Amino acid sequence: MLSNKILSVVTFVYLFSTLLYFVYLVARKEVIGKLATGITTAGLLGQIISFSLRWKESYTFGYGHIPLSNQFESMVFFAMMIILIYLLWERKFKVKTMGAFVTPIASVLLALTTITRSFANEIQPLVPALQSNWLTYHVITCFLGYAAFAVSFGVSVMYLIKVSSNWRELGILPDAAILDEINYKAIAIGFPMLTLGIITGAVWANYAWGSYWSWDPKETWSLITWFFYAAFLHARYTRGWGGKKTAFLSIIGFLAVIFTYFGVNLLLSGLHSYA
Amino acid sequence: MIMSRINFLTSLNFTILLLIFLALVLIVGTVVPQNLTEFEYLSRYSADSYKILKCLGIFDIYHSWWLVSLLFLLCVNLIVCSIKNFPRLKRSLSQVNEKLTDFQLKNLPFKVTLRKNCSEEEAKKKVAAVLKKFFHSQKEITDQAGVYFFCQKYRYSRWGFFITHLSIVIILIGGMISSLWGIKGWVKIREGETVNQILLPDHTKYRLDFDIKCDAFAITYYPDGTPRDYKTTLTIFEKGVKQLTKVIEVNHPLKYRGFSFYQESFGEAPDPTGEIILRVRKRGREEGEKVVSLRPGESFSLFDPGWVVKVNRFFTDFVRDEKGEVFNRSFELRNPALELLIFKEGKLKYQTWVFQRFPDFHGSKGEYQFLIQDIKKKVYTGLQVNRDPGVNVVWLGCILIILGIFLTFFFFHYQLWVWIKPKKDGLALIIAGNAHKNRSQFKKIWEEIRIAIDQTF
Repeated sequence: MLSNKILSVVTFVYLFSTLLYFVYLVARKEVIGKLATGITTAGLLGQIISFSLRWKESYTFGYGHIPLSNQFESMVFFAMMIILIYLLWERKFKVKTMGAFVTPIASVLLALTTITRSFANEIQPLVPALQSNWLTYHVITCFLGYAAFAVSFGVSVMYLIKVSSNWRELGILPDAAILDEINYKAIAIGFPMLTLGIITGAVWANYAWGSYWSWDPKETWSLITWFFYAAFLHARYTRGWGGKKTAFLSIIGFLAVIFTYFGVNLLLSGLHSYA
Repeated sequence: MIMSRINFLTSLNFTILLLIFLALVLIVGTVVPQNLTEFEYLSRYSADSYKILKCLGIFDIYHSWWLVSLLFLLCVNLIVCSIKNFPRLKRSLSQVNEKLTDFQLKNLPFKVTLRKNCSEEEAKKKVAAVLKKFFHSQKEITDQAGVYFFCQKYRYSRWGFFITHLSIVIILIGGMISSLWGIKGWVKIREGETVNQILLPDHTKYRLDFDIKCDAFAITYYPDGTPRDYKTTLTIFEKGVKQLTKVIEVNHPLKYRGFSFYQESFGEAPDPTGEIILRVRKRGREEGEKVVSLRPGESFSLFDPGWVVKVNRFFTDFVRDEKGEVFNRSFELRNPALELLIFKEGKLKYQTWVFQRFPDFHGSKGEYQFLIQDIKKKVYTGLQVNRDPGVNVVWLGCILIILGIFLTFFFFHYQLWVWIKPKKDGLALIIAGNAHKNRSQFKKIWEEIRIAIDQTF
């Protein structure tokens, strides 16, 4: 399939741009930074083309559905959302060094899907439960949220490196205050999206399974993540927590997200077996 | 002492503590398998730890009294925090100083003074024109100290946190209504059959006020053979009068009088009134076998004139109780059996049970041998039947929480003052601004307005 071939190329494009962002981090040459942004943007365009092609290809198989229906497709979409949000924020906050900490997450996700081949990449027909418009709303909102949390994770790692005693003098990283702000902003996007994701999931579950909440492990873990980020926001907004504390919390929060996404499927069994 | 404890329960520290604790409790629920049988638990835990964990409600943690208490505390905490903040919020929103004072100016984070040489009237017009571009409305006050303008935007976003917290309480109330007064059951209906009872989780039956008939069940397939959809045609009758017919499928339930019917499963089940294929032969003779097809209650003639066999009863799951009484244990084909009455010239000769699984067991009596060759099955559709009075309350809460969270995170309240102050040598234009939060974002808007006012002169 053409879409999968393009995706393999995109994987290497992302790995290459990750490398470029690292070179930029060390060398601090504006040209390299611009090149990294350019190549990442090209990679994103390639991925959007691959996504659209896969959607089109599914019709030639006689199914016809948006490619958001299994682990492979969701991982690819996750990577796409991370790069999308990253590029928008690189423009907004003018912090290119962030790329060295965020693009690796997308690269690893795509590398896992295309290089290891342990995730089936064929276009499969939709099982009856997935045949709903809520699939689109649910997956898009969830992964926008996850992607924003991924950015907050990358920025928090940056923050901790920046303020740790050995690296304090590191001029190549942006101001700690800016990183702290981006961390908060990322969660301020991720949290509403996660809320929407949980609610769209509940509405859908009510149509498909006749119950808006079943304490399925995936549901429960999404709620755990939601409680965690809610605590984070309260600690930050009204207790004035910031800096190292919130950076650590962001990292833990993203680990909870990763567990909600991968861990639940690998370790716990439940209704949510597709992805 | 007591007051300080109550204060703690209504504090934000307690909210954070509750949220973290709730998260931990839920983690336990996903790690310890829930609602297994005692036998399954005993294969995982020792008898003592099983007893302790069971006492603590760990095996049904989402319905344990202490999780409910935690959620209740969260509600109380949310309500009290909201009530505590309400007057302050209301005051800060309604008691705005529209006239900028020198004292107020000191505390505002954004301020600038421009010197202009023009008439007060002209300045007033120009400022008003610029502000019109940025704000829907503006307030203008004139007194002996000059002209004051006041504008603000997204004031209502300050209510976001209030709406969010309230909506969580609404969602939890909805959930409580669902679990207290909701009904969840299942029913299997064979094609053509009409039912008015559903089976509840505790194996009791619940009678509906109406009848529901399965007209047809069908599976459609993708080209590669995997199922595309399961469809059941259902018709509702009230007192024998047809009300409506609808085709339901996964994701498209039927709703009727507060009940929802969901396509859940399907299968084949024996039909107590369906056809049974029976083979009959004379004992000891292989040839001359007769194959008959008949329904329970029907009769057929044997080879010898005057001999008639009647199928009296059909059990799908034949068992005998302690007293020796026979009965049908279930509608599954566990031990299908037929009771045959054999008549000669209208008089009952003998009675016998014939078993499909044990062809040599009972039917060996008498001159004739009976074998059950086939029991015709019928397709049934498996429906989940719900009545959930809390669901709309939950949706109301969900809509409100989306509204509240979006107001909180995507909008912020900002205010702008302009004071045109006549001086001996022209005019002083004092511009000041304030944002309730997100000051870095407000700075850009502020700069834009400031420059626009400056350049209009």
